Amino acid sequence: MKPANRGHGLQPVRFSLATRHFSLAAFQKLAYAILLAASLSTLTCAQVPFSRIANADSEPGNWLTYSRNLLGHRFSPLTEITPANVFNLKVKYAVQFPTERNEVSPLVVDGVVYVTGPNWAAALDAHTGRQLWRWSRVIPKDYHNIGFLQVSRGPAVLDDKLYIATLDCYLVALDLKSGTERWATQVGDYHLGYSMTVAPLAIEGKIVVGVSGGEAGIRGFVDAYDASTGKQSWRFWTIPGPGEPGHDTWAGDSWKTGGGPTWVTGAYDPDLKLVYWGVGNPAPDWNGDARLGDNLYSCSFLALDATTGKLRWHFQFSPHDTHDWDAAHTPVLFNATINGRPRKLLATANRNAFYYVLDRETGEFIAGQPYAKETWAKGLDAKGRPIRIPDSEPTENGTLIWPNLNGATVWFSPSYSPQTGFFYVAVRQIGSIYFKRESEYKPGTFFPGGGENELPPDDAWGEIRALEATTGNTQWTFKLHSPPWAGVLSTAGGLVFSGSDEGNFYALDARTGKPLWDFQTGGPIGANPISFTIDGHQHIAISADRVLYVFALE
Amino acid sequence: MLNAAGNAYGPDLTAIGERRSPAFLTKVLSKPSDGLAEDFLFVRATTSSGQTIEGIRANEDSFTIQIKDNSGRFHSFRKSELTNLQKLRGQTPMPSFAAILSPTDLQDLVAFLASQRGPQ
Repeated sequence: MKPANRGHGLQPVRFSLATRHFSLAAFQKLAYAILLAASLSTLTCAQVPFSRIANADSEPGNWLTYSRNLLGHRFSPLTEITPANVFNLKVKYAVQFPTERNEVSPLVVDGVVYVTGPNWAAALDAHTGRQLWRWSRVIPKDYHNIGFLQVSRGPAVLDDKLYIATLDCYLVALDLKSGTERWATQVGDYHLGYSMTVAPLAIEGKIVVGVSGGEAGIRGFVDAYDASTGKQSWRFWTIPGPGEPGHDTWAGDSWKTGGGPTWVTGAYDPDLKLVYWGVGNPAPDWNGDARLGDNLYSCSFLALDATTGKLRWHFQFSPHDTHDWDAAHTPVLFNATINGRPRKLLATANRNAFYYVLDRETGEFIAGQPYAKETWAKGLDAKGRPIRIPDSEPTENGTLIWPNLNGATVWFSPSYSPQTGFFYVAVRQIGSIYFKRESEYKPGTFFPGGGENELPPDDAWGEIRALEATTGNTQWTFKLHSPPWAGVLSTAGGLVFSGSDEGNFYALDARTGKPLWDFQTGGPIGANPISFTIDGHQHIAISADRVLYVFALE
Repeated sequence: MLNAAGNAYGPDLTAIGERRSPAFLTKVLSKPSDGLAEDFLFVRATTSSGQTIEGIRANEDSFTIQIKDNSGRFHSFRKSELTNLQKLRGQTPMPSFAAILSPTDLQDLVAFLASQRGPQ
């Protein structure tokens, strides 16, 4: 990232009130400068009340929240780029980041692109990529990322502030116009392994965040903070304490170091006023001997009351997980008619290789089936609980299981197109030999209980799959050279965009999966694509390693 | 390739004695498919014009593949323009020297390769 105010970037307007000789000409200049500043502010840094985020479809040229809408769709209603013209997509500009392997999903608000990385954020002119402001926070020297990379998956915006979750576990609010820090609230203690890589989620008056640290034996939680003040509104512990429902699913004191991180952005239903959030693995990851029981609410989705943080329902995908299969996914919320009855649904392709459809009002299991190769379960029972295959647990000598610990898909986003009714997911087809080891908990250190040896690269591959959203039936499959780390964007123009670990950014026909366009970015893509407009024309953006690429039709 | 002579179809042999034992070299020269490196893949690509290229995969992504043929020349193809792409796992273009050389000559070759320690 280049420093601001170089070259032809927007220049800040500065005022001095210490002028001794205040002539009329000087006053006129000052008044003009104030008007100009106000005009620029209006043009580039508009307010973002919650109503704009909740009605994202009314302004398809912006990207105001992590998944563009609160329902987790990562679908763009823009239609300029189509299967007929996508061959003409070209790089408009590229922005170099100061950190590698960026996972950011940018926001775009009225001509400004907001990006984040580990403990930094920046505003960019959407026309040119030139930096408008930059903020950073020192990563403490004694900070350690335990079990994940030093990344930031994006910001949130609400009213006049931009929000970023930091590695040293602070939620920071920045002034949208200047990047000036407005408040910073400590969410967790990084000395105990708590950290944040998540893109916060802005809901009515609150900012919701989750934490990383599942490999450090944290006790996880989902938090909401007052967007104006940074004061905590509520906390939901993902590992229930004594006397709380679900506590009896943990043997002995194992709940105290039970994990249950919450490191991927959730979704929100403004009508039901429910926050949907995924919970990660129980700790230690690969040795469940000391934590007998289902280990609620690890590997679960939670539906939380947005006002109080109280649990409305939960659904556990992998009870007593020993494969590190976090439910680290953005839930996809959509409505459909099931057996003649209109239902409010939630869908997810889980890390454990099964696709699930739930009733999002009640958590009732509606449908589910594998969407990737798996060798650990015969299927799902009538309530969606997996029917395990014996001897699929990690052992001292190793057990070969599909999928590997990163799962059949993981944190990167799926996409739901209301146009096709398809759920698009980037699939990792890879197996692994899982090992079980002894592990002693020491605060703020790696607490794994085992590990894995992945199968060789030529025994693994990737896919983009289009699933019928209501059933999980595969509609088409596009094969990738290796298991991907990039999310999926679908558009009303009839396209699906995603990236590969070898640097390909590509477009597929949303109805058939036919490859239509690709571009070699030169770096591994481990991020989510977005789409927005500049001067009324559709653009596509993706981060590839250290570079943010922005594409448009030539 | 050895001391900058020959071509680089296979691994550079200039310092092979630093990396491989005489036992390993004997095994590979006798049965080459037993000692393939993990990133070594022999491939055969057929273009839409009917041309067939065999060689070592130099690189690959979801849309393209780069192949080095036995003259050391690189070929780059878009996969969509190939009518066939075979990945010949476990195969190698190197013949078994046990069938070509006498046991004594094979021992001499192994001794020679094991003595290659790179530029002194």
